[in-house]
Amino acid sequence: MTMRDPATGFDAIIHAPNRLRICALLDVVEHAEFGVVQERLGVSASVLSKHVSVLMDAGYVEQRKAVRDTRQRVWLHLTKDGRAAYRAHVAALRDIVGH
Amino acid sequence: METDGEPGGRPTPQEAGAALREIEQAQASLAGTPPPWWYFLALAALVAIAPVVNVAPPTLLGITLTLVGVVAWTALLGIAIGLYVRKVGIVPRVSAVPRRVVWLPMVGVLALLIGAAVLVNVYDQEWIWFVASGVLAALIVVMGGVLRRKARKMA
Repeated sequence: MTMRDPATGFDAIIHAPNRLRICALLDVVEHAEFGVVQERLGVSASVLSKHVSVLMDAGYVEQRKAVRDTRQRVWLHLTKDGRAAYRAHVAALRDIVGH
Repeated sequence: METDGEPGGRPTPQEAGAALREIEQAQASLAGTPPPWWYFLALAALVAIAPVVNVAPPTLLGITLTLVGVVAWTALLGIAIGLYVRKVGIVPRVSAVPRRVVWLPMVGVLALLIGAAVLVNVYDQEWIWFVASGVLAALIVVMGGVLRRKARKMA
């Protein structure tokens, strides 16, 4: 599933505000814990989960579950395609702004 | 309302500018996470004791103790890094860190170690390694304090 304009790099999947912020956070780290992303974005777990699912369906984000002390933690990271799509999208935004 | 991404909805320059500012704010929010104080103390302690490997006698027992020490030291370093990652909830990406932030300390550390190696060879005094590792440990603690203060300011 992709909604990317190959000519400009503009990606409608990434452009949705919360998904853009998720990708922005994940672009500067290797992995981020679900709870940290949730806290930084200031959204509920269900809202974050919904947007992460869309990004996962697009192949942009992967999640890894780790259990420690009976507590499950979910780690998110941008895939190679996801990082490329995000960066192309940011470049498209800069083009639109006229940088 | 946020959509799941309908094609054809290209933003205006103002909307694109606002989206770029959102990106900057999201990334800046990560910089407001103060690293735990114990992490730098643990790293400093590990660096400070590292020269102990040089003082073991060149006997079978000494070599065995050195190997055990190196394995234990590596395991403790791994545990410290693992605890740090679990505590802060992020695995930093080195390539996302500005180059000068990585290279400047590395050049400083290298210069300190080379200087110590030269002095040890010239004066044949192993304690110089402990002075060098002590200086390095102190710098790690200072750097930790600076990073924590910076993070608290950005929070």
